[in-house]
Amino acid sequence: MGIEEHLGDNIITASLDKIVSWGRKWSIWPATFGLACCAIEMMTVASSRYDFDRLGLIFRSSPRQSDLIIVSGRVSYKMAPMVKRIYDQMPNPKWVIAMGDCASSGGLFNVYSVVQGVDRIIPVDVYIPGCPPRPEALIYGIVKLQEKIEKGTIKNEEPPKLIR
Amino acid sequence: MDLMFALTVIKEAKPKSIVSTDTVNGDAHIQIKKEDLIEFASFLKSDTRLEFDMLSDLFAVDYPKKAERVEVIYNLYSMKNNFRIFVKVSSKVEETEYPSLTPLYDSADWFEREVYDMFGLKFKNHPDLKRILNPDDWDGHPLLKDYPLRKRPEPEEIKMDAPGYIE
Repeated sequence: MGIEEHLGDNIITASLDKIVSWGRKWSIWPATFGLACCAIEMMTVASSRYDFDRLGLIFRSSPRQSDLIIVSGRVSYKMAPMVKRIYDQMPNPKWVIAMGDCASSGGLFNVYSVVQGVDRIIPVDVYIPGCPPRPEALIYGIVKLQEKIEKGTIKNEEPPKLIR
Repeated sequence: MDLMFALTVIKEAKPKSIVSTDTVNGDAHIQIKKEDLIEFASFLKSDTRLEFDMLSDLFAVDYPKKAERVEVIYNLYSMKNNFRIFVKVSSKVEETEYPSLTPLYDSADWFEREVYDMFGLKFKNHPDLKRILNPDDWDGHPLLKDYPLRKRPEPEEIKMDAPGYIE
């Protein structure tokens, strides 16, 4: 993708991996994007009581500047193209959190209009159960995502694929 | 003027349009004939004693065992008198001559679009009858009782090409 392709595999790039992953881990910028009642909890996490700025998360108003999309709520079939489009507009590397039961599996909305889990349209990294999850649960999910990002590499990786 | 007196006024003025009347929990329900709907509603709106000047809701119910299975219910409110009535009209789903209330009440526009979207009832002379809640290319009308409960498109079937979408 960029200059990192020409660096090769050696001790410098191994250390560079760590530094870059550390930087990515503490500057996850989520897209400002909410779908349903989980979005209210997501906003609470951004507010002063829970304050996820301290984890380096700052909501960005453009998907072009975001690394993370928090799918907070049920995804209806009408909304699915928009979710997919926002995901496609985000630059690599990018991550997805399915927040709550509805985004993870459809939840209680086992009906004609709701996509049964956002992982049917975009690949998901972290699933957070709860209806809606408490802000602590979302923060825990973000910490889990940080652990995943920490193990990442700057080398060109295969883009994540849908698992079902 | 109270609601029960209003009901007698309506009964006296339009005896031929009314199929039946009923009062439930202090609310008046009037079942009327479909072909008289426009005339009946304009009477309710323009009569100086009644002045039902607001259509606060319009919705439908599906009774699959009846011949005229869709029942459309108009919730009309009188600002002047502070009471409301429910006007009911039964219709077939395939009805082509079902009148639209948009010439009388502007708020009927989106309500009727919703009924069309969910029940497939085509309102005649509606200015812009298209789906309002479901995607434009949706198949079927979900609130009809014979619509399969968990019929869902496969994710591959979703049209991801929103305007400007680039693969």
